[in-house]
Amino acid sequence: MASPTEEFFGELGRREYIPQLGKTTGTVRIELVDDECTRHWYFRINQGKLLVSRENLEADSVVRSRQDVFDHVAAGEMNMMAAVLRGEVSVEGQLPLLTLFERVIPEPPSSGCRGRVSDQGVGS
Amino acid sequence: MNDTLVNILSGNTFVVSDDRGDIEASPAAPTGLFAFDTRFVSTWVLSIDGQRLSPLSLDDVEYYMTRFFLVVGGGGVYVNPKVSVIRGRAVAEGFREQLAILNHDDSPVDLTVRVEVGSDFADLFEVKDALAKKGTYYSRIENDCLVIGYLRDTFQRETVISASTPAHLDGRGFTFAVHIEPKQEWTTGLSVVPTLLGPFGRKLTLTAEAGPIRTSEEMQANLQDLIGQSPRLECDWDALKHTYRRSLVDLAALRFSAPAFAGQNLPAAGLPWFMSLFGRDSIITSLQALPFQPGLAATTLRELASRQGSRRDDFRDEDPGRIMHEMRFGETAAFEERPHSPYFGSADATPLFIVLLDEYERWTGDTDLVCAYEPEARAALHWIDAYGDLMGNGYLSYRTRNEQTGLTNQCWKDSWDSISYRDGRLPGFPRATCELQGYAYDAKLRGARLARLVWHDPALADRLESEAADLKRRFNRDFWIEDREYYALGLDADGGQIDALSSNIGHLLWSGIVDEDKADAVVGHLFDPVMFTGWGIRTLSADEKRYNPLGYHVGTVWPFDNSFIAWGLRRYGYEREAARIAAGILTAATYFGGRLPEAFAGYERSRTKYPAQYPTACSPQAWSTGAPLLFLRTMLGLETADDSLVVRPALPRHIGHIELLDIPGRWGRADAYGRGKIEMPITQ
Repeated sequence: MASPTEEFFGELGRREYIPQLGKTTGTVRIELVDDECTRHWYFRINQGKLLVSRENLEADSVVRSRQDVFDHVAAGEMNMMAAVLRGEVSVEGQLPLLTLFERVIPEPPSSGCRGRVSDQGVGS
Repeated sequence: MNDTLVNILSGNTFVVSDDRGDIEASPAAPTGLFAFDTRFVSTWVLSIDGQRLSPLSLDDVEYYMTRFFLVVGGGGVYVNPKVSVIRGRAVAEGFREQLAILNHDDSPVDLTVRVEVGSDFADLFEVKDALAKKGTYYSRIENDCLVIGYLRDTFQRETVISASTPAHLDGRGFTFAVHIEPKQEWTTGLSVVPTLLGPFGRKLTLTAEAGPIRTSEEMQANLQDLIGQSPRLECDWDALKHTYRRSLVDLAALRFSAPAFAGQNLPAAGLPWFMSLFGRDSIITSLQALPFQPGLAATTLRELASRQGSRRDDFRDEDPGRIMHEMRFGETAAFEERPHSPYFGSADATPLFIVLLDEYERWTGDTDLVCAYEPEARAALHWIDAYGDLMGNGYLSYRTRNEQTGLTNQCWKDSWDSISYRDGRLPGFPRATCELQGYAYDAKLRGARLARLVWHDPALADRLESEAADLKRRFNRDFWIEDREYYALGLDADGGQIDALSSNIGHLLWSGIVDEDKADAVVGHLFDPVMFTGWGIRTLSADEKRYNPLGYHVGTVWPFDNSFIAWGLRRYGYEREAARIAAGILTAATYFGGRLPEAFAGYERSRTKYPAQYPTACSPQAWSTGAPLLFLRTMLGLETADDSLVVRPALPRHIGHIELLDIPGRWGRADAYGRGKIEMPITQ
């Protein structure tokens, strides 16, 4: 069975364009460590166009954590910024890229739709 | 806190100590070295031969450095001291201290100099509550440095202290054996560096990579540059010149280096406890400072856009498109005991983000930025109706989804009792306060302007304009209290009017949502003695049940609130009234050395003669620092029209002649002149 991280990147890889990242360009390397090895994921964004890869790419910023920690982040169960403050995830390099990377992380499963009235966009 | 001192640099690092330079933190004396919302030093005590020092004088050099002049022992009959101490301190990455001990005697002295060091690593939120910590403390000596640390699970913070001269180190400080020849001195340098540790023992980075730590000389040059780039004020009233300069220096001290954008600054909310990124505070201050330092607005817009909400998260009150309220980096945010990572519980920051974006473009002509942040601006406009209208009645309202640690009132009056009926009852939730509707209305009209002009989307512009017109029509029907002739403070969950008379109605003038035929009545209420103290307009009418002249949002006078009301009065053509408020608040500033506090008491001016500061008000506080700037704008009547600056002065007579030179904007630089012609009532 695929891990939450694999599911997350799998799903992300099927999205070719992310409007919320329309003016962002850069590459984030995600290094995930468990007892046996380190796995690398690459998340490259070019003016909103997205590439998810496991091939070695030159990165502008690096996210490091234990594999099980990132699984929680990828499932929306753990807030990445709080995890960074706790010292469970480290971030290096270009920080704007990372705050934008946060935009594609799913929302917490428990957060419902209370209070939401309509979802008609002002979308571009 | 009266005799403590504050130094600040690089936004969120600051030192609070007593007047000897010592730090002995307690709940009553919240002193220490703070960085990233954590206290990294809570004990820092200098002694010589076991004796504490006494202050002679203090040289508050700049906001980032201080010098203490000290002697051994204290009090009693005056004896010429044989030894004195000069303790210089500059805030840097942590702080650096230069100790000089001077022997004034004819014979040599041998002294034992001790610096006692400790830290409780308290979260800023815990400082005043002295909460028990859940982690463990440690200390070690490593490479001639004393390392003190705190560990809770994976959360690890350390303070590294080193000295430039040989010392005996133990787990609790430094001891120097000092021999000083007659008329000679001994010096040492101490360096204190806060460190955040991440996974795998790596140093944690939380902000954009900054340049090298600046020296005091570079800081001084930077401050001079900043003042030099701001417009120059010449006027007959010296006190105003002083207040203006104080505002510029304080604004510099309040600069916070943008976490996501290296080398760019935006205003933090206040010293010392609010040196953090706040959506509302940064936007309000940037609006006030726009004609003086437009760069602050640009950074505020970029930073807030990059942290705009992207998902539903009940704990953080986050929604897609929502602009954040407050960001914190401490232990309680890390362990999600508090939601500030970041927290989004503000109902006004999102429409005000659009207001600032448009106002920024009007002044600077920087359409590139408006273009670049089109998706964020659209998402913010979308949020107003899709997520902000909790009652489905077409009004922006709030109710926290985090009942434990979320904010009850998500408007600028955010204390628990700020929103009440006349009889003192508190309404249920959601609450739709009136000024939120004004901000939403203004945001839609300004969004429409940007849509037409910059985003080339006339359909969106038409839609926003039609929504704004509809909102204004409904608002003037539903919020207007017919028999009392003012706007209700808000609507409650049943759509009923929250009928207290408040300063919020002044903000409605600023937003332009007030029907022309209702403006006279609104202005009449604002200057009724139940609202106007002689200094300024109270947050809540003295006739209301919850009124208290010392109540944080229920009777005090807030300079920032008054500055926006004055702006609104000018918008509706009430020049005399705008000048009256400006004169009152700017005169009040002279009682505070030109530095307006966050709030002062709502007593009648005729009763106290001087403005009484609200007991625990933050100072300097960003939007109070910005208030004199906005008053200068409203008094001179500065507005933009196409590519030029419009000046329509309306000044109180006693201000005399005034010149504001080199005002930056889309016109390059321009000057504004005015002469005081408006007579103030005799009480002023």
